[in-house]
Amino acid sequence: MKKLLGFVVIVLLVASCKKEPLPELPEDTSPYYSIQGELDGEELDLNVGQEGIQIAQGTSTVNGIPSYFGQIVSPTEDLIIKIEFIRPELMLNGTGVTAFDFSKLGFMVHEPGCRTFSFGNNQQQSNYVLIKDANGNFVPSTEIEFNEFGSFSSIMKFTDVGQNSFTIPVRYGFADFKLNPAFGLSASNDEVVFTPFDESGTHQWLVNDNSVSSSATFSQSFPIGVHKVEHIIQDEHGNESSHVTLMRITDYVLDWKMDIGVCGGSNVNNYGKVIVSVSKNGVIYTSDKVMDNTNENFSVSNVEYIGSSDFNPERAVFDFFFNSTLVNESQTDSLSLVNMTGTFNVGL
Amino acid sequence: MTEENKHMDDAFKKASSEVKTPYSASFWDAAKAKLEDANLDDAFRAAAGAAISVPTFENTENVDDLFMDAAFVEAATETSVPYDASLFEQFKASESNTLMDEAFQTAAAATVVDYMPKYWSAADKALMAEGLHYEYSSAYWNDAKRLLDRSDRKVFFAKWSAVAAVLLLISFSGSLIGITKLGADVQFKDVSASTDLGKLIDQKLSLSNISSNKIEENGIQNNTNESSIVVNHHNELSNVNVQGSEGNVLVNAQSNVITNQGDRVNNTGATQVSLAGTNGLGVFKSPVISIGNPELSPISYDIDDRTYVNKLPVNPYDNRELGIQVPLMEINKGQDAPRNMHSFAILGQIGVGNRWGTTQLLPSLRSAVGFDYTLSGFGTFKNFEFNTNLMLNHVRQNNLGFEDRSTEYDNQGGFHNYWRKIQYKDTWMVNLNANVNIRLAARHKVRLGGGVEYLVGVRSNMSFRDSKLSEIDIVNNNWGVKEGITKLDFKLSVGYDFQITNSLALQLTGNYGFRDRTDDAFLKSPVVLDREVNVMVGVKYTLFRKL
Repeated sequence: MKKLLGFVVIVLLVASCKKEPLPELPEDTSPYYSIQGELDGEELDLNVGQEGIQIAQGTSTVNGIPSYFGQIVSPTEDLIIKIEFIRPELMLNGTGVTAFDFSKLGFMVHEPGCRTFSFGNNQQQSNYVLIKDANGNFVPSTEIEFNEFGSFSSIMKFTDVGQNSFTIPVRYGFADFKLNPAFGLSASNDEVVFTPFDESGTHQWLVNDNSVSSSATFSQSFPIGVHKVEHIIQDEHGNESSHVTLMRITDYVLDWKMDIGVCGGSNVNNYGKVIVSVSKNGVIYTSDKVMDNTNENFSVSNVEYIGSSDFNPERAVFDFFFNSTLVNESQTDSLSLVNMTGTFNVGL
Repeated sequence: MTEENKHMDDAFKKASSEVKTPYSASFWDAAKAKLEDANLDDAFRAAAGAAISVPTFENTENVDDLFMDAAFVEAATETSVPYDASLFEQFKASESNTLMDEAFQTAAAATVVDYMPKYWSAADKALMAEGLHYEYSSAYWNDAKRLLDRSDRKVFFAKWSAVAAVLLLISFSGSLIGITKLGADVQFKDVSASTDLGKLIDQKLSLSNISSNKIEENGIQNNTNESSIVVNHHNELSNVNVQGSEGNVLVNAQSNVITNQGDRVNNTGATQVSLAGTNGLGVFKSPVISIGNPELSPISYDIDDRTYVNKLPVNPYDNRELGIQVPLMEINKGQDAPRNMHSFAILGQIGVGNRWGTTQLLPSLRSAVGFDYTLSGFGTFKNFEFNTNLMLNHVRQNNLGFEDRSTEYDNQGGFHNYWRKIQYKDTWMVNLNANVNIRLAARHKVRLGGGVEYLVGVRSNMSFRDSKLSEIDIVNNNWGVKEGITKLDFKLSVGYDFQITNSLALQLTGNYGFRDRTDDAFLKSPVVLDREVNVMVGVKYTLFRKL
């Protein structure tokens, strides 16, 4: 009996010993985001998660045009590398968000341009137009000049109408052809007939920021004066574009519709272009001022969208490759980025 | 080597060479008889020493002659006994037997062999030298020793009882003689105190014989029977007068009754009386001595008195011999075919070995316990043992382990660090060995062997964080991790055994393993061939042996 008891005790002691297996650790992964290449001839290798290197992403605008960006920050080197994409003309399709228009990918390099306003058959109206210049002064003019691409607000007055000013967005370098919001106005007795150039999709008409119709074509009478007309068109995927202009009603009849024409500059459409900028030691260098970059390719691959759903992505992760030259604001100093590769993300 | 040892050793060798067998049970009988002779001799010596211590006796070479002469003179003045020539003739006729008996006793005394423990060791060595060692069983020797010790105790008590009895007799007789002042008065007392008295008792020389044989033969009226002549049987004072008309031999013995004495004492008294009576007849000195049963009377005219001084009654020894019942020892050593001997023992070892996982030769602790089985050969393989043992080996390692880390980066731009750290503390392996022991000498053996080891347990301390949701876990005294330690290994071993006692041996063993005990890739350590090399000292305790 004692032997049996001793044996049981031994068995219990052995069984009571802790027998914790060696835990398996998660796979050691390489940094998710990184950028490697040559920065001004020096090897560059930034890995997010190492040495305090971090990544940030978000949305922004480039001269009023929506964009999304990502940037890697290396505090130890006082270095920030930012990659910013102008949104494509159409972001949504049947599969969800398309952050990149691969046919349009390339560097956006600003060019100066000019846009002019015309008032249909009323040739006299141009004599009563004042446009606010960069100094904030209303000056008689029917043209505006741009140094960069973008969407700029033009504030103007009509001296023959009154002191009210009208703000009209004018885009330079960004033309909506896939979803054209342009429209035409015609007079039909005392009414104005609204006719979109592209009748597909849904339409929203606003006059003086007030919605007046959601039909593609409609007619309506308006009081005498200059009115701001906005047409918003939306396709079946949810893409939308808009066009804003002015119309004048004289004697309850449509007098003119203001059109925007080209008076100079580039005709390039910059939707989906990319801008690379580097902040090094507090100095910002960008790629959008170096015309040579227009000859460089910026390739994107392995795009992955991250978010609650494909239609509501929060970020887009992609691999990239590019070569570029950057210059500072005054264009007195430059940086060369050669064979830059890595994994990046942008916020949507 | 003492004379006695030579006798024993010679006896064994002689018996072995003559009988052509390594051993015969008759050896033990012979040894037994000799041992008993030794006891006899010792008893004689002890008794002699006691007798000499009698304060009133001064031994001289012719003391008996003095007593006898005085007795004869005194007897001559009081009695006269005619000399019968036939008595001397009878003495001469029995002289040869008497001398033979004396020679036998002398020879027996010369071949005394005392039992001593070292004789057994000598016998053991002799048996080992003759290849009979493996039939040895300690149980047999223990039994034999116990029996002999028992025999010795009996001999001891018998011997000292006899000596005490003799001393009491002597002292009591002395007191009686001092009181009664018998006819031989002072001289008689001296005789009684001497060992001649014992000699006479031994030979059962009685007055009744003298009276019946001689007095009647001479026509002297015998007014007593034997019992009456042995006056001690009567609790009264008796006077015995024997007169011979022809030889003018007159024995007038006067004895004072010794009350409450045993037969021997009474007989002694009677004999004393008879001697006293004849002592006075100086001319009949020799014939008187030879009367009675000549074969019981070794006393001759020419025998030195000192022989008798050293003689004591042998009756107690006769009784002892009959009383000792020594059982036959069932020892079968070599009579049958010799067989292998199987031994089972337990082993305990401790030592040092190399530390694993490092290129430096650093020590670490080793220990082991286990069971051992040994097969002892005989004949050609009498110096070989085939041994196997099952051990549980323990290896203490310090600073053996590794630390492992991993980083998981996520698509949020963040990352998670994981790690684990383990330190191996104790490693336990079951080890099965097969060895060959080679006997270099009686107590010295060398051992060669090989074995296989298998990992059965590892005690370790561990800490880890294996999930981004978990905290740091610490598990000490953990027995759940064996990875990183080689499970199977083979080794060679050499050793030396020193047999301290029959059951206990001291061992020195060196072990050399063949395989790398650590998984360098797993431990993320430099490539090191961590062979197990250790030196162990230990003890081997034999639980039992079986033929």
